[in-house]
This record gives sequence, C-alpha cells and structure tokens, in this order.
Amino acid sequence: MRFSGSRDFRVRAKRVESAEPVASALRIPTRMTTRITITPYLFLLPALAIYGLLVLWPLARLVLLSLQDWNGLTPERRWVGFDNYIVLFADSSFWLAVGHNLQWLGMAAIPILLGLVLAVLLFQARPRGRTTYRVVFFLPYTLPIVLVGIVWKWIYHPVWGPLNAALVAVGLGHLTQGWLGQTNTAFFALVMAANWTGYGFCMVMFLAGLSSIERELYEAAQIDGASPWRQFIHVTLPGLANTTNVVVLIVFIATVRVFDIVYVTTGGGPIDSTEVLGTLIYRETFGTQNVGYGAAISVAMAAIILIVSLVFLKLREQRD
Amino acid sequence: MPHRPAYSVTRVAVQLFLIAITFITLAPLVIIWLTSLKTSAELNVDPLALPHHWVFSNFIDAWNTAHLDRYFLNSVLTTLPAVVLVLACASLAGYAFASLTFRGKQQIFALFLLGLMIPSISLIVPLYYTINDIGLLDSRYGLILAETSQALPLAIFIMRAGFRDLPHQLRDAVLVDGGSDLDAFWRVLLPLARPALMSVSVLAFLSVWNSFLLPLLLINSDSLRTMPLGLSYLQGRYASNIVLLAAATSLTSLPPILIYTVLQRQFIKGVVEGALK
Repeated sequence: MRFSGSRDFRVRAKRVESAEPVASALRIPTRMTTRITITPYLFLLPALAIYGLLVLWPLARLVLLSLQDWNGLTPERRWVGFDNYIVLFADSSFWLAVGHNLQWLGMAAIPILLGLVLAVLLFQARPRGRTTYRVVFFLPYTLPIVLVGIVWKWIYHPVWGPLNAALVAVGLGHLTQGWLGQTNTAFFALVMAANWTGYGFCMVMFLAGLSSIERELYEAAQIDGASPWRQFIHVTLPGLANTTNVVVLIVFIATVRVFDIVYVTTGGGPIDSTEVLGTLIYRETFGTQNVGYGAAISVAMAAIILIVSLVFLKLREQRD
Repeated sequence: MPHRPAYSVTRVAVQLFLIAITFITLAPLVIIWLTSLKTSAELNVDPLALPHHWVFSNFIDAWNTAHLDRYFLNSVLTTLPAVVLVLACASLAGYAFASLTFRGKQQIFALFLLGLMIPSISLIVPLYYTINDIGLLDSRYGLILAETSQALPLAIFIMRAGFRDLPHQLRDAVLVDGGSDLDAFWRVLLPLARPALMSVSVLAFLSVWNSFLLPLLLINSDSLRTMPLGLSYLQGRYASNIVLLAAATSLTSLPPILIYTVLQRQFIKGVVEGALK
C-alpha cells in the first residue's frame, strides 16, 4: 500500500537513526522532527561539558603526554614517540608492580569466596538475625579507604598493635612482628586489610543474585531428590554465573587501580615490596618527575582495564 | 515440623561462623574507638585492655586542636554540591539516552561508558594540568567539578536504566498535550525515577565523601582539606600523639557509619544496582 507521504517518511526514518527507526519515526509527529534535533543535545550539555573537560580532554592529553619527555615543571618538552613504552616494557619495576597487582587479584579470591559463603548461608539457612548480619558485614565497604588503611596500620603496629598483643595473649608470642614493616609480610598484611572491606560487598552482590534464581528450580531439584550440596552445584552456582562475572570484573578493576590504601599505609615499601601500578604512577609523576613516563604507565593501566572489561562483557553477552 | 538434632547442630555452627565474621568486621573499629578513650600512658601498658577511666578529651582535642571540625565542614561543602551536580547532570543525560532519539546517541553513550573503565589514578597528571589551566587548583570548585566528572558515567548509566523502566507512553502523553520534553522530564518522569535518583545519591555520596586521591592531587591548603585527606595529614603531624590520632580516626568513621545506619537499605540497594547496571 502506498500513501502520499511515504517518501517523506522514509527520509525522516533515516535521519532519526535509532535502534528501532521505524517505530520511533512513526511515534513522532511531523511537528516534532525539527525540535528533536536540538533538544537531546541540550539535555546532554551539562554532563558532556563537565565530563568532556575533566575526563575526555585529560584522556587525550594523557595519550599525548605519554609520547613526550617532560619533567612537569619547565616549559621544554621533547617528543620521544614510543620511547616511554619501550622503556616501560623493559622496566623491572613496572613488571614488579604488575606482578603485585596480579597477586593482589589472586588474594581477592578470599573475599569473593567468603562473600559467596555468607550470602548462601544467610539466604538458604535463614539464620536468626540475618538482616543485622547483612548490615554489619557490609559496613566496612562504606568507610573511606584511607580510614581503613589507618585503622589496619594501627592493628599491625609492632609496639601498640592489638594483633601482636592478641598473639601474645593466646600464647603465640613468637609470631609477633612488624607486619607492615617487613618485606616478607607487608604485602600479605596490606591485602588482608583491603580484603576486610570486600567480603561484605561480594555478599550483597551474591544475595541479589540468589534472590533472582527461580524457586521452582530448587523445588524441581528437591523432587528429584538432590542433596543440598548437589542443589548448590547444579542450581545455585549456574544461577549465579552472571553475578559472579560482575563481581570478578569489579574486583579486577579495583585491584588494578588500587592506590589509596597503599599510599597511606606503606607507600609502596618497604623496598618496593608493596609497590603497585597506582603508587608507581604517583611516584614517577610527582616523585621522580618523569611525567611522560608516568603517563605511559597510566595508559598501560587504562588499556589493561579496558581490554579485560570488554572480554568480560562479551562473555556475559554470549551466555545471555 | 519435628526437630532433628543434625539440623540444630548445623544451626549452631552457622551462627558461630557468622558471629566470628561479625567479630572480624567490628573488632578493628571497636578497638580504635576504645583507644580514643584512653590516655597515652594507658596505651603503652596493654593495647587490648579496656580504658581505666574514660577520657573524652581526645575527641575534643581532635575536633578543635587538630581541626577536624574544619575538615568535616569541607567534606560537607564538597560532597553536597557534587552530589547535587551529579544528580542534575546525570538525570538530564539519562533522560536523553533513555527517551530521545538523536544522531550520535550510541557513540556519545560509548564515550560515557569509557569513563567507567578509566580509573582516576591514571588521569592524575592531565587532570592536574587541566584544573590548573582553568584556574581552579587548590579550590573547592575545582575539586567539586573533578569529583562530579568521576561520578558521572555510573550515575548516567543508572539514570538511563531508571528512565527506561518507565512506560514511554508517559512522555508521549505530555507531548501530545503540547508539553515540551523539559515538561515531561521535570513534571512527570523525574518524580517517578525516585529509586534511581536515590541510588545515584548513595553512590555519589560514597565516592565523593570517601575520595582521597582527588583532594590529595588538587588541594593544597589545610583550610580546604576534606576528612580523608585531613586524616592522612594528621598521621604525620601528630605521629607521637597516638590517642589523639585514634580519636580523629574514630570521628572520621562516624559520618559514614551514621548515614549508613539510617539509610542501610538504600545503601545496599544503590551499591548493588550500581554494580549490576
């Protein structure tokens, strides 16, 4: 069937360019088409202005800076092409930091698993006081991470630290030590402090995931005579696949970008034993004033996060 | 239902486990609070002992002498405007992404998505120089804008989802009645998007109030330091006065704990939503 305005209509449908061009073009009266071209941009303007100026523009500058040799103070800068990156790939302190970030990620399995266990216990066993438990476990996540660092620095303190005092009190006095002051214990102690804020977050994520699993699946499993353990393996875990994907991605991003807690507790020391990418960037930029080099590390960090995030999103899409 | 013994053994075990985790969660905070109530002399005797006579002077010293009052005020004066700014910008942009069709929509949205994956630590150098270029270094306004820019991508994401969940006929009805998109946004859809606004407020509050890196980078004057930055600074300044530091740390933990206690449901919901969106 043809009608007189069909040509017009087709032009408009093309201009609108939405996910469902025909549907939206049909919905919009002719009168609206001229207005629609400017209104959306006005709605976006405040956000785009702030975001463009303070994220996108700095991001472009970051990439340019990473191709330069500059101390950050004097006007002279030198274009060095990809030299910063070439140095980066051969730099043992960069790889040391990357290794620490990876180790950190490995140890972040503790709060993820603990969060999963807590969520399943609260959700399935329905223990008394479960609402209170949920609120308490999540509490550390709401505190400034600087504060978390300072509190734990205290707990680990060699002289008045409660951890050493507690060890003495239970007869393990030979284990007392300056937890954050030694190269062999500092990293472990630091990550455990950071993990303190993690299990509550993972727990509430898994709780949200658990409540979205359909009850009928459990009923069906029970009818089939499946034990609680088999129900967990065959119903709960597959049902939590997407939640797990999100949790692992968020934990991954958090461990790659980690900075605050290291800065206020060990500052990367002793002797680089807790140096991570974040503190390395800070040191290169404001310490040794290799601004271009710091920028190159920053680009590398952002690239790692970007690539891994895209992989995770693809994995989730494939499953859906 | 008959009470099977194995059942209650499990119950007890579960409760014991949960109590143990509660202890791990709360002990660090309780210890620092108790230490704030001690005198310096007491501290060195036994870190685990309860305070003999409760001393409140440490809190008063931290609040007045160590300028925690000022840091608190700065945190309020930074966080409130930033949260309002995030809400305003993100709801407008979220409405555009959810309800309007326009050229370049996917591309612009992808640009905001990119922001979710660019950590602030990787932007410190160019951000520092950009803030310097616009003359807002060591200024509260510069900090507010920088915090807003960092919180925006996630906020827009949540607002977009919030508006998407509303029936699109609502907007159509306003337009048919001769109203503009601004009318539809302000009078009809924004009030209905209250859950999303709540989630955005919670997430923006958490990220701005707890922020350390951006104040560290952009603020120089002691008179502008926020609580986390001020607290880290006091670490060096009062390194020898441990009980005062404990009091300052305890007081710094108070605002987030209080707000979280009042709004616990919204906090947890906001954080979960922010993560899943």
